[in-house]
Amino acid sequence: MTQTANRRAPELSILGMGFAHPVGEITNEFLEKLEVGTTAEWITEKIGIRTRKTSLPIEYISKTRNQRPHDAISVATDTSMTLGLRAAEMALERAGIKAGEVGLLLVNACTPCATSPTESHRLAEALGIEAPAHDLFTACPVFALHIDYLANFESEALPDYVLCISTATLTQHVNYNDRSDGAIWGDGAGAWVISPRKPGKLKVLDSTYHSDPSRSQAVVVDTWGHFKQDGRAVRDFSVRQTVRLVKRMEEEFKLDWSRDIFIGHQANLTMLQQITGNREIPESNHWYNVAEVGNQAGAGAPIVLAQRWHEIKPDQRIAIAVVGAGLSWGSVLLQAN
Amino acid sequence: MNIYRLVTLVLNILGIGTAFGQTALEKSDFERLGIPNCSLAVGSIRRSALHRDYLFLTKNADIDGVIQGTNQSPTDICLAAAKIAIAQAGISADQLGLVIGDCSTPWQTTPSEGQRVADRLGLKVPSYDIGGGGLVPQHLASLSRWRIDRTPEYILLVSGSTPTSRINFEKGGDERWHFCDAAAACVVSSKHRGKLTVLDAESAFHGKAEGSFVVDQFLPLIAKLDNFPQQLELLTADMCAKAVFKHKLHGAHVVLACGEASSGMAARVAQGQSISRFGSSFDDNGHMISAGCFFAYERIAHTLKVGDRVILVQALPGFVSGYALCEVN
Repeated sequence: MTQTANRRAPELSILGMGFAHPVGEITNEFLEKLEVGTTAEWITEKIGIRTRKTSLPIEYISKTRNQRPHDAISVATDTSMTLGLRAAEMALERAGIKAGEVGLLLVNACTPCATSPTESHRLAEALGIEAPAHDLFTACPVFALHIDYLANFESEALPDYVLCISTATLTQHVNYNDRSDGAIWGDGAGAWVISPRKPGKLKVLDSTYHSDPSRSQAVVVDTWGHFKQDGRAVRDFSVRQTVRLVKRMEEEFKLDWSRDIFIGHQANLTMLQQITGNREIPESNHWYNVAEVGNQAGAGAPIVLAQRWHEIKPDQRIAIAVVGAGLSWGSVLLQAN
Repeated sequence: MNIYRLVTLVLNILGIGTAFGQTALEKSDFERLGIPNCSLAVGSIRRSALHRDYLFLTKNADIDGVIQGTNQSPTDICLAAAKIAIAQAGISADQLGLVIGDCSTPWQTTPSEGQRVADRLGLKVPSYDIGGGGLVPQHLASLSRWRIDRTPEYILLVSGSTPTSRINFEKGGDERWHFCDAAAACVVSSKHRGKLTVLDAESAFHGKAEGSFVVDQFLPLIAKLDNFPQQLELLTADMCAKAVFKHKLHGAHVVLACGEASSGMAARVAQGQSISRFGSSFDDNGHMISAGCFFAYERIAHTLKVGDRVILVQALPGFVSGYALCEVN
């Protein structure tokens, strides 16, 4: 395990956050009806997910099981771009700034509709942003990557406002004949406005980002095909690594789980409960949405925070630990003003 | 518009590597593929990762099935370029502390190209992608604004794409002989002096994404070649002018390396800024999406002297462009 460089507390603030989900919903009962060897009860017991948001029409999934992801895009109600756009608009509104004030746009898209122009360029155009834009991509732990990446810069080198977006439509890449993958994934987008000098609701106290590319093929989205993962290896890695990330923040920052909040990678609820059980984090201080919307890849953790934006209390600290494809992992510790 | 406000970190380029797709295609090959009006000059070639037999048999009409037509992925080409850059830098791969990748035609949208290359190099270091416009403009523009205490000793930047894998050679137009599968890589360091020192780097997005060049996930590549060269020349000239104006460059020691530009285009851009020495990458090899400026650099590298200022320019028509100004050590 190596880290980017010597850690140094970044001086960044999050001014606003937004999120978006498609309207479609996949229930456990629906998955049971697909008759791929699973039951609603089994899914709830094994992974704790009850429903997932999807950009695919339910009838399409029933009929085709999404055997050709190529066809998914033509029937989808949303793309990673339309979701990213809505999330960004909410984040900008909450931050109290206009798109034209954004000086840099960073986008993470696991399932882009096109690779050139990048999702960042398409979103910049859609939002009316003429500032520089580029994709900054690592899939699931992107909330940590984007913040840790910005913390690499000299403060004066950054513009006043940076807009970050993470968007994913994994259900368009799921093989619904696979009982495991079908039960996991949901679609969504999260966005956050960061400033290196303007005060915001959340101050970044700490960030880390790491990866072990020797396991890069453990989680894969084929460009023309389906999502694939080595489920057991990834689950073990995710739990172990998240516990490590949380433990380090506990020790370095003396976290107090009677008032501080934990948000993990929204992989599945039983995994998150293993982590909170290990770290003795009470249910009331564990924020998650995976049970209702599924695993939204890199958008999951930021969406949780965006959904609870108005519940954040002054001085509260929020510890976020995210893991996933790459394999990569990272953490962000925030403090409310 | 500038990506970031000022350069805060002196970066050195210690090694540069380039690599091509495995199949060389000449004018006669394009004629055999049913492209009679191919205006490829005699002696020029295009490179493809696709097997020759597969290309002639299928004309790559089904781009979804392209993996069956090659044993060379974009990552393979990136890896080859990376190994050359690492060797030229005089380091071993395990000294790298960060790998940043970029690929416009990945076989996998997850994980990142940087992670795939790092994996193949046997590394366990942070890695990710900065995508959208290529190696020099964005990667160097970003890195040269980092804090020194957060910058690893050696960083690998690698950018490569296989546009021919996204071209339908049966139905397409001139894009069929316009593009080239290639990758370029460089090793940079803020702590060790190298062949080139980056004095400044900038990149810009021009506010309009839907330009002349589209790589859709499932559809054949689109390149509107009727205005593609004009747009490329405008962006290239604009970036070159910015570098010249900002750094008051003049004289015989100023050299221009134009990625993806034809020799005629590079000559016009250079002439516009009174630059007499220049290199370009298009005539010999075609459009490489993002690797071209290092191929252009390699064409002029043997002419460079200590103290020369090299402007590396890269643009993608319609939306993004950038430059890196380097001093030869």
